[in-house]
Amino acid sequence: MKKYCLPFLIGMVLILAFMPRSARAQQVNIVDAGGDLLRRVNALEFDNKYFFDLYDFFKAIDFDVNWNETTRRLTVSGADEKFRFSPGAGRVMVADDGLYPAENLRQENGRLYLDAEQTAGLLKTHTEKEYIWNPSREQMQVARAEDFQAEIDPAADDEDPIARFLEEIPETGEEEILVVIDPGHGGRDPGAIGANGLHEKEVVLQISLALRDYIEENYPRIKPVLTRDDDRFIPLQDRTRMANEQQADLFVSIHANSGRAGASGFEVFTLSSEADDEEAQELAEIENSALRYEGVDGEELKDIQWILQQLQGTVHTRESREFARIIDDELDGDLSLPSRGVKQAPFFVLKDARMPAVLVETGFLSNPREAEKLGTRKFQQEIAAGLAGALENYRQNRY
Amino acid sequence: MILVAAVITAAWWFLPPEPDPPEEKPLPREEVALYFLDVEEYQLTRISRDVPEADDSTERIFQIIDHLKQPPEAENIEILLPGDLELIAAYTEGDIVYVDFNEAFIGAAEGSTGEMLFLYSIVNSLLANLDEKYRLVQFTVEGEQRSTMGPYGENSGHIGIKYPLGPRWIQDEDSS
Repeated sequence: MKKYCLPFLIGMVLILAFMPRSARAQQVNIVDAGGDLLRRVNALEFDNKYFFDLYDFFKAIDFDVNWNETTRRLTVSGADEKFRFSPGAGRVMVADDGLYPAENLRQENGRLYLDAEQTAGLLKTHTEKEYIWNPSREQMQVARAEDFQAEIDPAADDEDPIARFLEEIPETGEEEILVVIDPGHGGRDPGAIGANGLHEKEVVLQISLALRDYIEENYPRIKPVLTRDDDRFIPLQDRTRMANEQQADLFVSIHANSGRAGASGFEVFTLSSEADDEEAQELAEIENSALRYEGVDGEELKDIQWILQQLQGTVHTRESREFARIIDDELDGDLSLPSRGVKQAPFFVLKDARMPAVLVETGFLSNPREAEKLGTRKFQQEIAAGLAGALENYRQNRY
Repeated sequence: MILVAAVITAAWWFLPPEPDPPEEKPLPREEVALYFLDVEEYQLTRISRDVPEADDSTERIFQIIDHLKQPPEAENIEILLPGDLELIAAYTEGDIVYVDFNEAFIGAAEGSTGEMLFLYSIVNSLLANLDEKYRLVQFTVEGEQRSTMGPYGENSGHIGIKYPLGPRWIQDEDSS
């Protein structure tokens, strides 16, 4: 009998070691600088890490908490700060500062959880209070910064928790993509002139430069290239020619709109063809005839090349619309402007693009309030952060 | 004397009455659909208007452009065509309506949305009121084709007008 005991025990150990580990509900303490208990909040222990129930946690530290069932986003607002967690997109939007990846956001039983250490890092970086997560004591210590001065280890102070957080995040899509960012107008073409005298060419250049910088700082797998980084006129057809020559994966033309003073909101456009139905029918007819070919001579090859070009165009049209919807969704949540939706029109600048291409109208310069906003660095960076998030979202889903 | 007066009276009495002036027949009229700007929704909206019947498609085209410059009575509905915009020539060929405007066409609207509203108020209004065999509208300016209607050179606008445009209702495609 004894001879079976050892293999049995080894087997049990192996089963226990490799069986899937489930999350355990826990409660952790939030304490002040002196260690006195302030609140107890729900958390989840998984793989020796603690994850805060974000709804409970932010309520406990006196934030306003709002879960939007439609957009499936959790928005938490403190006295001067605001965070929006989007579990679907795996990111957190920090008002006034931009988007951060947050792939460690977990959804369990309809609740939203974030790793305790990342939560502390996020709050420490973006609020005026100090948050220190102590895993051995299973507690979060919170106080005004000066209350912690004596306790902070100077060596640990050099370590930026957000930077560490970003480094730890694994990339789901491995492919790099090249994105051509096209600031509209320029040089002798000022574009629309705002109610405050602001020129469209200046606003869209500022937004495009902010977008390039934001991508370079946050999304190493996206390579941004600008059609212009100064005030110069570039003919419309040359803009997509640059993108085609560089074999870009995406083309984004950035503009600011104009109309009546009351017009408001941002819009995302993709290219439409005015003869879609006719072309589709012609394509189908030639495609059918090509399928009957047994051999391929010069003329037939031309037909097949034409078919391939048309099919590629159809794929780009579909991908452009998908990309436009992602941008609309990102900006709709992150900007304080209404969305005017995703539309199609025969845009001259988009017609020769050999890749998914969109044109974004970021707001109405003819509207005095929007013109004022568009002129601020803060709003330009919000747009840049939203667009960058959309590019990364598209990259991760497509590549 | 009395005799003369009697003769005049009798002549007046028996003269045939003057014929009534010919009755003015009202010209036949019909209803057309015109696309104007809904300022609240900031999109095109369709307004019906009674206009005299047109003899042919060219007359109808001129009539439509003329009516697009006349503000509707409805509240919050505005015209999109500037007053100095003139239609110089119009004709039809195949399934395309050709319209040639004066220089006021260049820069008559700005911004993607502004250009779309302006161009499609014309395209939609023309195609809604002509024989349905016409499917597209080709714009020219002073007889010349342009890439766009941009005021800083033909490469400075947004919507491509080098080729004819089909009707478009400027609605969010997700909601249509």
